[in-house]
Amino acid sequence: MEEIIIHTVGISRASQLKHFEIPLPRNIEKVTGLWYKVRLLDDAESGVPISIRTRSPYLPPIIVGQISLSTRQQEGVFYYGNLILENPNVGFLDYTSGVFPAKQHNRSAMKRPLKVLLNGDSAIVHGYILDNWGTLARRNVRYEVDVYLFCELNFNDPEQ
Amino acid sequence: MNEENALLRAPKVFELQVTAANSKVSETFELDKSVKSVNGIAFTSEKPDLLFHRGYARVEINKREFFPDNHAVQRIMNGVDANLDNRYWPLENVIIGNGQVKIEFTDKADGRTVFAAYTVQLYLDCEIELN
Repeated sequence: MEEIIIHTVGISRASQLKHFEIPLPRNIEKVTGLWYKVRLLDDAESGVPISIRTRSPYLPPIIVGQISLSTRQQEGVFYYGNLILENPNVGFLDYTSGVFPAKQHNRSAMKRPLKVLLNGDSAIVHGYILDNWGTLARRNVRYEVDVYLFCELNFNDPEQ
Repeated sequence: MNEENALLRAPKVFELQVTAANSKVSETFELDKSVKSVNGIAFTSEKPDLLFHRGYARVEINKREFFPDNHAVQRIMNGVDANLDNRYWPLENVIIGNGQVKIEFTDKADGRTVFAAYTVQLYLDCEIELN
């Protein structure tokens, strides 16, 4: 049976490095997926950049920060990557965009988790988020990152 | 299976209103007795940008939790470019039981949006027994 663990990490200062721990259930068999969502707590009209304007039709995404996830078991660091606010190029070179502009909410598919494989022996996932959004904005940006872990649980283990 | 008790695939739609920012709305709906299985789930709204950025939902069918509290609705939404036969998030091994579908919907502020009242529509992909 699959269970989703959601852990929220709050960032409030520019260049902040925030460590966190996500405890896993005792009857976990493995972690199979990873996903995240970024929620801006400040008002975007107050000057927080939510898109980068360029002359090119390609828009670079806002890199909110870096995330690293690891365990003390053999996997070590099992995920390291950029936190992207959203993909602003869903309508890249789309000839219909003048009529019906492509946005995340009207042109995107359902969000499948990124596949990771983590042994169930791990009791805790350690992680950190290093802020980049505040560095980009040259001010403190308050936001939260929800980290989703998709776990497979074992309900048949007599020891549990 | 003969024609009399054939199963028809049809959506069941439930609606709930979000009238205040940063609020939690809980509703319990009941499936008809004719519903024999639930194969998928989808969310939509007349203001999809608000639902996409601000919507979080816990969904329970027959007291079994399929999505935990504060689960982002945007994972279960899809755009107009999705295939017609791929618009539901698949649900597996759903036992209809008492037929109760419980939704706890939470609206959370996101600085990229400005709140206005919106309606959340929950679609369930059901198989219905024809009499």
